[in-house]
Amino acid sequence: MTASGGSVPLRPGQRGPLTDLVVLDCSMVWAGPYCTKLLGDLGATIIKVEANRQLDSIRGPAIPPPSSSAISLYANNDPGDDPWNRNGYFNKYNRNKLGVCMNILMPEGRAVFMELAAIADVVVENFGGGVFERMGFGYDVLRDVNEDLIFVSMPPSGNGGPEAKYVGYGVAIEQLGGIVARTGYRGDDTPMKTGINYGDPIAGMHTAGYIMTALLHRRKTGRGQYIDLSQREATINWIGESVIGYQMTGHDPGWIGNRDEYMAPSGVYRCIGDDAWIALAIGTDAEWRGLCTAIARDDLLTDYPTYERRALHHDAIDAAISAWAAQQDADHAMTILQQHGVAAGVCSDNRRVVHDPHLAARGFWPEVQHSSAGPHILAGEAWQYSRTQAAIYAAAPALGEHTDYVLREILGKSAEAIERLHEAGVLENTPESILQQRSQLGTA
Amino acid sequence: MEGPLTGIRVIDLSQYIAGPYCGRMMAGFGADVIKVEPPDGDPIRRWGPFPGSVPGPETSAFHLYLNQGKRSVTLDIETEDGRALLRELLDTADVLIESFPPGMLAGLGLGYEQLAEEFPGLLYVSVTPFGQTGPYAQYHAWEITTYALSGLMYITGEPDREPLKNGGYLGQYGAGQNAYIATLAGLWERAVSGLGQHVDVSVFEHATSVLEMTDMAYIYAGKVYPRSGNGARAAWGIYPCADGFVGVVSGPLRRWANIATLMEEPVLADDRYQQAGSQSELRDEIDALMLPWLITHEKEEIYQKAQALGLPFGYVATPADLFKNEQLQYRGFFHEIDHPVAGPLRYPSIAAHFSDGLWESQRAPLLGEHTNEVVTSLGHDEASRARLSAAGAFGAATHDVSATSGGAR
Repeated sequence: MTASGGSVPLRPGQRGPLTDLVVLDCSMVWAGPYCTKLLGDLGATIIKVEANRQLDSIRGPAIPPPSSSAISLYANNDPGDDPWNRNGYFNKYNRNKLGVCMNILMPEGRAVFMELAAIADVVVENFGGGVFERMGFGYDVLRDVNEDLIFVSMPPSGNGGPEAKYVGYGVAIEQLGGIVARTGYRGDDTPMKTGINYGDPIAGMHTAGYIMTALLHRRKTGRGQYIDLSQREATINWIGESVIGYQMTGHDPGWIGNRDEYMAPSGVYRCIGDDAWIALAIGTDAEWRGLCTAIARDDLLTDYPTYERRALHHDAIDAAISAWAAQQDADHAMTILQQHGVAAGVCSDNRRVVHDPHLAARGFWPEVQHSSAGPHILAGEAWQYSRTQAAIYAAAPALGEHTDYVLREILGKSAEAIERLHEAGVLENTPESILQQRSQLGTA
Repeated sequence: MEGPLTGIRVIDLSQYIAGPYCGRMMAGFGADVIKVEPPDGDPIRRWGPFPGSVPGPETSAFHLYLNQGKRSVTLDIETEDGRALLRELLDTADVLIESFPPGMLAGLGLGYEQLAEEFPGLLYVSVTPFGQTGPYAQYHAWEITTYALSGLMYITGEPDREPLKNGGYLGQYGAGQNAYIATLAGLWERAVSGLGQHVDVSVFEHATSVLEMTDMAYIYAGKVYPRSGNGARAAWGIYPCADGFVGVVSGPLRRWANIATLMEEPVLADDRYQQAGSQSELRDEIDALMLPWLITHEKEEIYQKAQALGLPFGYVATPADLFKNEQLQYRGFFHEIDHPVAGPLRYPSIAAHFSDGLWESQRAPLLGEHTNEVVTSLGHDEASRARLSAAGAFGAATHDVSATSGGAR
């Protein structure tokens, strides 16, 4: 067995069930960093390796275009002098991670990377198409320095096979994985994309679970693992019942808007205010009685007592609920409906969800202190533990923020050795495009 | 097959989708997952789709998928004998998964605190809409409820129409996926400490956690993030084709000219269109140049040809399309499994290849199929089983658990 994370110093606040694990994270954008975010939020030490020649693209451009898009993701709406450190997208998914900036294609950088690979329990990459392997960091190479390593590759459709080299963005993965074919307004000819690039977090969640599986396997057998994920297959796992159902019925379920195959009524209803809505679905007769009482329409109970009747007269029921909701504040409507046992929820915008009283009471939005962006809150995770409670204890790293720390505290390198690496240019942590801009200004 | 979780016993009391999906994954990786169902079964058995759309407790597609590889035991935990048997089972177990409204099991003497002393090593995993604490803990929810509250629904759909729920049950599946991660992390830690704990998984918090970056738009910049339909970006999004819809993705920009090549429309290569990039003004013009080719070609062909040119296109895959795709066939993603009532069907397997194998697909159990076998393994002889049955431990239902072959009802 290799030295595992037990020998790596914990950072202040780091806790949770996985504090004895070390993950070397070579992934970028969303799917890979989502996976390592989950493990880092459970207490694992995540060492994220970036290069100044190729920043994680969700840091945004090093030099943003002057007319920024309608919605800024920069802290305090200000890209500042180091926009790559102030992008909310990156800073959300890379909290609790150590940030190393290093050119791993230079021989000295490669050597340091191999030292990190030797002490890691897990290496995660999502370059796709065999790029990481061609850079000289394939599973076979890393296994030579770490026999029981768990190595994770997470391309769009898996390594090997006719589509091994295909490229995929989350927007296409959610289509290929079958989610989009089920999403759309009822009666529309065209389906609708989801509000996010759903393929990415789905792949990230699967991968984190598979890593835990491989770790438990390693504990039993002493064996490492090569995990070859397909983001498309991960997405299909979340519509498993449609895939099986299609074979039974022979028809494509298509999209039905906000209605539901097994419940009626189901929908969203406009409330008082700007773009304010309450969502609800009625799954049982008891809930239906509650709804009719809450909106003072007992006549509906008489007219449509069964699911079959409600499904048949959905439009009429929608009209009745809409008439009631139009006079209600959405939060108040949720309270009243829930008091009557109805599964109603406000259709929150991003502002409301950040201020949601339930999430606040559960401590879902912890605050971190970012070196450039300052103090800010972050979304938490879906789980809480009674004994080994995990924590979001550190903001995302500025580019290369922990390079020296990792070399000194984790690899045990001397100040002189680290200085030599700096002088050789291996650890440059100013984005290359900025260096070029400076040199052009200097020579102009 | 010896799997990574072989030797782990899970008592799966959970119902519907999220909790059972977690149990399904544990079973596929080798755990002995005993699904404890009420006498009339997990209510998901009453959700379809069903063969020929004729409902039946053994043929719900949801049930067949979510309960793969588990054993089924029917217990009426409302009875004292049913609860006693559950405790006997817990004495042999490593993990309990449950999805009841918070406090319900505690009312039966089966809450986490009540069990922790007797079973200090038990990992007690609760998967509920809102978690165990907080002002909404007792709120009722279906998929649309937590989806709406999370903020995901508000950003899906068109700005001048109502917010749109994603099809299917992504919030439920996601909570189950998180429950799996959290449970295995708990087992990892337990192997060192020897101690169990309560793991509290929330569907609402899962859904909120996948907001991509729209929460940060408010946190960092104070902006309410709108919904934008299928997007206004030129050559980016869902387009019609001969047999359905494809996903045109015109990135990275340096490959723009390849779109002109693909669609046999040299005019598209014009600098003006390339520079249009993410701006929307030229969208209609660009669409008019793309559509003639798109609507005369089929989705798989468009996808394959585009990818051959390095373009990250996709297509809107229906279940039928998935079975036709060569890559999924090459990977052997769908596993055909027989089932005594539903017959042979192709099931999604696991989304990764492990160098050591590790995953095994098995069928879902019939309701109560393993009651007799499991209760016998707890040391109850025929007389004892008959007494428990007469006392209603397995429900007032008519099936005879002292019979040797399970499942016949």
